[in-house]
Amino acid sequence: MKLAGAPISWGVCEVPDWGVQLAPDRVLRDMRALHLHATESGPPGFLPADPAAARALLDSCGLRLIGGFVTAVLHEPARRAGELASVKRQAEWLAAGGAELVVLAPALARTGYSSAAELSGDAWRELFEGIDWVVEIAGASGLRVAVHPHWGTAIERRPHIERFLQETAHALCLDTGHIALGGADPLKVARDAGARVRHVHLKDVDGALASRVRDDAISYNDAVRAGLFRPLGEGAARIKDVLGHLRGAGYAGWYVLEQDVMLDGEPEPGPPEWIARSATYARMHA
Amino acid sequence: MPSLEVITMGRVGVDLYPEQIGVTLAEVRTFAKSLGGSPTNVAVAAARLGRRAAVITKVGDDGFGVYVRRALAEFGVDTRWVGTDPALPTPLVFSEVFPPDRFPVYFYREPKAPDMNIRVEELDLAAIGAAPVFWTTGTGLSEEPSRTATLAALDARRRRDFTIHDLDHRHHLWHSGDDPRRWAREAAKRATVVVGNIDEVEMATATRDPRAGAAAMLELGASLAIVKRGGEGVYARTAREEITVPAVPIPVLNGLGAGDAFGGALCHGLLAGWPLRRTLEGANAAGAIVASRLACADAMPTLAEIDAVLGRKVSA
Repeated sequence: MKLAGAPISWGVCEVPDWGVQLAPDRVLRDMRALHLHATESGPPGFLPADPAAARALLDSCGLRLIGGFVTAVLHEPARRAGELASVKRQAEWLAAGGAELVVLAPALARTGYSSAAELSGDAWRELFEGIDWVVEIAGASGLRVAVHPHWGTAIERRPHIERFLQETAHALCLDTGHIALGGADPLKVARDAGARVRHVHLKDVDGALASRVRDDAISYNDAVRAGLFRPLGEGAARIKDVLGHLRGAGYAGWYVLEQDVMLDGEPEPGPPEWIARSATYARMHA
Repeated sequence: MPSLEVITMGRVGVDLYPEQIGVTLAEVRTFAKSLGGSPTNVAVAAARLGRRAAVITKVGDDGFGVYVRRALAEFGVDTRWVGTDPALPTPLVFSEVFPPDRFPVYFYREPKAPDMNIRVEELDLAAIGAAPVFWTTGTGLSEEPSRTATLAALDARRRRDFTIHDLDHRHHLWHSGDDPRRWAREAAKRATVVVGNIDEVEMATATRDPRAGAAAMLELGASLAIVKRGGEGVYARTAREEITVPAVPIPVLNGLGAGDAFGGALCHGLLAGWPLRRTLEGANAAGAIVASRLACADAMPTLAEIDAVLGRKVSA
């Protein structure tokens, strides 16, 4: 299996006030200790802005870049040009860093992931057209795109995911935790998406906390801080079933250990236990 | 207090090893005392590698029981779940050491071992369910009430990783008419990792072929099946891959305890997030190191000693 890391599992996130932000040296050294040979980029600014320098840093840790999480507001025509320009910059940086993939989250026009919105029919059309543009822009840099349903974005809950699968032909980033958080069944989504599963983010989710997030009884950020996302196999996202399905379906893409956490302080030296356990879990069950 | 990482459950005893090699019990002059019992020594081995470990077991109300608790504490193993049976003596185990491959073991666990009297109501099922690693052994299934308690503890795991069942079959500890295979399979169904040597795999699956035996264990529900093959190394299998690790060429002095060192290092590797092959190489080396030494509990290797045998860092 192709197993990769993601800095968010070490609490490195693009959202302001998202706990302690660890330095790249620490995160990349831990990835190496887990015998990972590939990683996503983390948020803009985590790795050096010069893609050659980023590549050299990753090389020195035995890692290669596979892709990056890119957010863009695509359902508002007035913002589209600016958003696509930002996508283009990030795609060019990723491509120069050796990546193969843009992981696209269709953001809402707000900071963070603590709010929800229901798009109008027109906005959905704009969004899907915007994704077409992103695919074209990424393609010009030799990158492919996987669309990432994510809490607090335009594609958040089960009906949104179903609409995306029915009304577009775009590839999916199957994020087990966010899909379960949105009230969908990750196994069913994996089956429905079939060969459109281009990329996989592995995280588990606490079923009770997820249901409180859906009911608006706790904010997304507070839930993450309280341990919303769990090591693989320790939550309600049916990880073992999903891994079994993907194995059977011949999925040949990346599995990224991508467990959004928020840190209160610098963890003990060495890979944090949640990500180490998840690495073994993925290797055992994939 | 930081939470436990490894909880093991089952047999304990005091091992009395002959200090003369290659002689029978009739001829041996002196013995060395040491902590024994497979799951107990797995906890010791895991603690030696820096893991916070505890063992659920039971001793007698005697000096050997005091020794067991003291030795565990010295090895850094949490003793909160070491119970005391008011009537039964702490078991003793004598052995003979005929290198390289004959190590007869003589259990003195009559009329009954205190660890066979572990009861469900004594278990902290919440702690068992929450531990990153929980380890049971076949001997725990050989008699009641320990059998019911062991299965209840496994049920409390709800098939959470990493629930490891060591087939650990000691024929002499089973009553005639009892069915070790039936209970081995009941435990294996509740585990996510099953470990055994080739004789134990045959006991559980009716085949001596490592590949078929491991496949049968996966069929029962395990996600990782590990067959220890002594001089032929280790064979392991998941749904996706087969892994073969060759034996480490170290002269064997006393094979007893090698499996427990293997187990402790297996727990460590699973928790460390290493690739399965790397974890099995480390466990295999740990077993070889203990087999090259006379003692068991006192001989459990450190990570540096494992690295030295492998000729490189197991963790890098």
